[in-house]
Amino acid sequence: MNLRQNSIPELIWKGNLSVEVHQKENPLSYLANLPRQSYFAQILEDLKQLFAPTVSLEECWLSSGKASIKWHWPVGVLYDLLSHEDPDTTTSAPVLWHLEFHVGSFPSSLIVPMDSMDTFRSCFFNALKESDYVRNGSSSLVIALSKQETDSYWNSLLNHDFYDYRPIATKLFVSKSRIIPLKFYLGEDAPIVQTSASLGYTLGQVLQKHIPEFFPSDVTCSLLKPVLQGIVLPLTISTDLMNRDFCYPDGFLHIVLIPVSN
Amino acid sequence: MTVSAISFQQHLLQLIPTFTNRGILCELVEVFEPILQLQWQAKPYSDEKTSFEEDESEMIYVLPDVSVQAWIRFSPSFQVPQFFFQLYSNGCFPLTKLENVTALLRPENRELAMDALAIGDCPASNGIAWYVHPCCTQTFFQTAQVSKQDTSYLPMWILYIHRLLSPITTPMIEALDDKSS
Repeated sequence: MNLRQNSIPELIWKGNLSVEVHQKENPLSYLANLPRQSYFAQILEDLKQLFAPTVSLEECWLSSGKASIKWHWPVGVLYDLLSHEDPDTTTSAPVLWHLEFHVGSFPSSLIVPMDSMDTFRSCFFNALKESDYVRNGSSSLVIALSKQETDSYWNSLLNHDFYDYRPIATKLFVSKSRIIPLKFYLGEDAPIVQTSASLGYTLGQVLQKHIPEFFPSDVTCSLLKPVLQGIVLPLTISTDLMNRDFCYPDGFLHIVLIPVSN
Repeated sequence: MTVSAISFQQHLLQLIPTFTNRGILCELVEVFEPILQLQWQAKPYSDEKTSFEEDESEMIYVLPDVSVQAWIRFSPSFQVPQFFFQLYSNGCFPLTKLENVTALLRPENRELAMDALAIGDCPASNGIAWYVHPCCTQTFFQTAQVSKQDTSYLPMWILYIHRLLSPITTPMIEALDDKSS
């Protein structure tokens, strides 16, 4: 791997997960390599066509074990949270994430029903505007995107096109602002801890400030450790570097906190 | 003389006895941030009335009460209070379609509510909830010129929420009216 040819953001963009989706008592299986930077909303229609072509999209949902899959969260975040894998101890054996497709008994208190891609687009751009608001005190950068830029950004997500994605992402995320938006995930049953942090600090300092119960030290992980884009981050990493290279397409840094292995 | 600043948590705590006196269940939960959790029954706006005439008396069908579960928190992104809610019209399953939610509101508010409401992650659980978009709240506070240090900070904001979600939020307004009288 030649790091000079692939920047960190491009390597992050290329990260993907092998997924197998099945339905009970159905011999068919859906196999795909999904980008970590994509959303299950993007394949829900394909899954419906394979497993249940006659039902409406909003009756369909996915689960990983006992957890319902939130299609409006990035695939990579869901995997880091639900797979219970520890990147520090993972072997070189290939990973296949098994999910189940369901129709009916929709968990309506846990997942938003997706009736069309417009619902997903609306959710995505709401999140993007929110991250812009955190950075800049208003959603002006997102709102100021031309229709062509907005469509290009949306299509870059759908088509997984780094070269259309990166210039607009850089414009939105690496601005004059010194504040970055963060979401911490403490477990599949826990609410998200949403906050912001200033550039010029370390991740350890941010965690110690906002979740001191689990991060009594800003340099050593004793109870939990942070995983971002499938990578266990050192607490000494700077917020500047995280913001520049590790943001998800909605502009947030989604950091999953997993138990420290003994 | 130094006047100590009122924290958002203190604003929330001030609401609890006011709401409790009106039968609204309240609990302040600390999930890395203070969130006021509320529960009450509300009478929705009813467009449909079916009347039967029987022996000169009229029977009128009205919609059953709606169970409301709500959360008030300080938005870490938008730095304003944020109102989340779930509506249960049959006791078990929350309403997840915007048109079903707005159908319970006053007709004159529905268009405004359609623009102001979104659904997303509930701040107090791993579930989802409707919320009034904080961008709209920003505009309200700029117009109303209410300071975070005013004791009327949250009551004024609740009036704004009520303008969007009436009559679902009527019990909150009645509670605040009781306190002021």
